[in-house]
Amino acid sequence: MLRTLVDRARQGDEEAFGALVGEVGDRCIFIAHRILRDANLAEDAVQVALVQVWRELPTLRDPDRFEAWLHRILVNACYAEARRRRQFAADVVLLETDAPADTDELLTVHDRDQLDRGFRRLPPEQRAVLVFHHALGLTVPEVADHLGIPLGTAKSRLSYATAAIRAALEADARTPTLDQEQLA
Amino acid sequence: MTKPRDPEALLAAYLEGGMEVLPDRVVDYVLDEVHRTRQRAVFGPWRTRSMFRSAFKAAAVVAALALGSAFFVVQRGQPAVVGPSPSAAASSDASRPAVVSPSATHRATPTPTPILWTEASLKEDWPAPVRPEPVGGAIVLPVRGELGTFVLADPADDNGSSVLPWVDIRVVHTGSPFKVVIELADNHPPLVDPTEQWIAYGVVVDADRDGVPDVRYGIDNLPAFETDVGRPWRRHRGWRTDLHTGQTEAIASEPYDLVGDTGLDTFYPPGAYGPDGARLGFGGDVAGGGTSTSLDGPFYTWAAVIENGRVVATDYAPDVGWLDPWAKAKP
Repeated sequence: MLRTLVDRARQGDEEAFGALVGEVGDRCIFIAHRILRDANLAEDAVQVALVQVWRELPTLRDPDRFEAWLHRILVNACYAEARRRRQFAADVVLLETDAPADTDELLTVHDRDQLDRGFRRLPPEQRAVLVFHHALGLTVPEVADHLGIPLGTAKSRLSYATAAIRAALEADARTPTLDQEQLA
Repeated sequence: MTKPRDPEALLAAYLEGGMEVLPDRVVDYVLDEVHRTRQRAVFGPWRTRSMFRSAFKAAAVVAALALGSAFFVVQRGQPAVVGPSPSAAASSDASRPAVVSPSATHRATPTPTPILWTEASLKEDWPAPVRPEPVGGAIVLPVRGELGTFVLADPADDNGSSVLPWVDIRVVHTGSPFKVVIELADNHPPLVDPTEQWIAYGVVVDADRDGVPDVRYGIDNLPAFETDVGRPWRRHRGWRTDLHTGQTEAIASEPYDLVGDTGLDTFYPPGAYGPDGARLGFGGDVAGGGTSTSLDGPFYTWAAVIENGRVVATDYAPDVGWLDPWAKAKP
């Protein structure tokens, strides 16, 4: 069905593209929000990406590669939004209103705060690898394919990102009362 | 009590949380935009790179002859221009922009060079002086840096003006054919109106490796949209000029967009924003199975500032020859 929609949308069928957005839109916002950790930025990135997908669809040679192609465009849009956020960061204090509620007993509020802090420190390219690997469950070669990067790059980004997250958690474990000590 | 902490399990749990449904307003926006947006025309997805190269070679021969003619004319006192306007681009004298910098050492001239510049230039000209380049210019091999990157250091204070350190290229590095980063003596160009100080960065590519410049990419401090006016940290204008035909295509929408068949991702942080310098990203990522190209030929980078219609500082890196990380890079 997806293939049929892609074929029709490539021919300029707006209705088919609307149906295609219905098929892939939720997946797009799932990815974008996890990379950017901000609802507004994620929505902007998805908007930009989907319009670009429409514009560029005729250049897609192999419709069976649509999903990977879409993901590349989407993550590039996320990178652009992340840069924009960084550029605004000096002026704007972003409120942490988009933090997801704890959904798993495994994750305490404290864990989530630490992970959130560590994750937001990562460059968006490394975040994307983590999201595709851990949240979408793709293998590392699949991650490389979907992000359009060499396998070695995907491995190194995953390695760096995982190490950074681990370091953030371990640093917190070593200094659990740092804030209190600072206040004292 | 300390419980076992498996970072990967914690991370997976952390990533479970978040938006899962695309809001209707986003869908509505996208479909409205789609209705107003024409799809990209594809005339020949079957074209191969070799066909492009053949075309480039033929064009290069013509351009080399034109370049020689233009140089001869300039030697006779013709004023130099900074870059082709679209109207000038359509003319047969496409090589004229190649003579902006008269310096035989390929460095910026401390003495400003007159250029044809008006207020209208902000909409139709491209502030990109092209380095005079002998046919068959030498190849410069960069040093291999960490994690497979390539690094080229450029001499300090060689831009003709030490008071404009955001034009003084310090280091050029690239980790893939998709990105070139230009680090500057001061990575923070001022937040300044382009009518006062027109700042631009870019890359010139020898796509067919014959020593003749083929394509020039650039970004400048013009806002990409009217909504970006007065917010210069937002989107910048980016463009690509075919130096054989003089045709220039500008990015029309977001910082990442296509000019011709090349994805161009432009960024540089003015004022106090960010530490990165100027960055130009190219090609392939956006296309996937599509037709985009990457930066796979020798290139050099440039930076320039225009004040009161004059080029007051220009820097190139490398100053002579072409940087070619993808030839036979030193281990």
